[in-house]
Amino acid sequence: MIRMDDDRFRMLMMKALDGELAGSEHSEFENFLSEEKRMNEWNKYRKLKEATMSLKMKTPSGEIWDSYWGGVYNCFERGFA
Amino acid sequence: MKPSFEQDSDLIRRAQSGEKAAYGLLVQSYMQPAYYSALALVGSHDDALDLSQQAFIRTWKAISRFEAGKKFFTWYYRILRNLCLNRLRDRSRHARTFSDFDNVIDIADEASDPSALLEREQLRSEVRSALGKLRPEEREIIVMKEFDDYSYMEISELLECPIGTVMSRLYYARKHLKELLEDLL
Repeated sequence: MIRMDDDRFRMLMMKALDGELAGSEHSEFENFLSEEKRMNEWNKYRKLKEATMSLKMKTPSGEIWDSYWGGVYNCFERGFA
Repeated sequence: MKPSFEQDSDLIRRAQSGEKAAYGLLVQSYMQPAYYSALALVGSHDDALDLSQQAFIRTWKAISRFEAGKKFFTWYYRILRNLCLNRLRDRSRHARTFSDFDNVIDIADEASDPSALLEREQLRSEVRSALGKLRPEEREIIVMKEFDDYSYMEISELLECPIGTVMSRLYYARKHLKELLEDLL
């Protein structure tokens, strides 16, 4: 039973983090958070998500987009296609 | 602007009849998500550029087999992903470690509250390093969700797995990341 609750909580927590909770899942998730241990876990995942979302892949120099298709096309012309 | 399914279908039909210029427009529509997806997996600019271009060459070679009604990028992504995972396997066979992830991730926004700046900067810096320590498949799904903001449905299409599996994979990837950062959370 505890194992099932844990699995359900994890699934709801992922949905809550990603804004994918639907209908009665909101109140079900709120009920889980009445337990201090689960609330602490939730707060850690929220903090982690916030930090991760503030990162992005580094933008390469603009020229790579200008020559990108040319690079693919040259391979066709050299007979790799 | 994101290309529409109809625009893609038209370009694919023209490419299937041998029109390279039409395929070029398709490449230009998807080169950026292609490059960034590869970068998230392999962590190197040169490899991401090379592999994403190679995948476009492979999809061109197989374009006649592309099934109408499917999404081009989903099809392309499967090929790209295999190329990236193979490159990582080759690297590990040749004892080249994946250590340069710090160089390919940037800060997306600046903290507005100066008092929180230091703590936040430390956490972001540690998250950046920790992402490089994840398995490529773990990093991939976190980048899809947190950087690219794909929905569960979109991730499920790209990774060819049910939505329940997407949630489960996300949970284990985030759990691993959390364990690497436990002292800071």
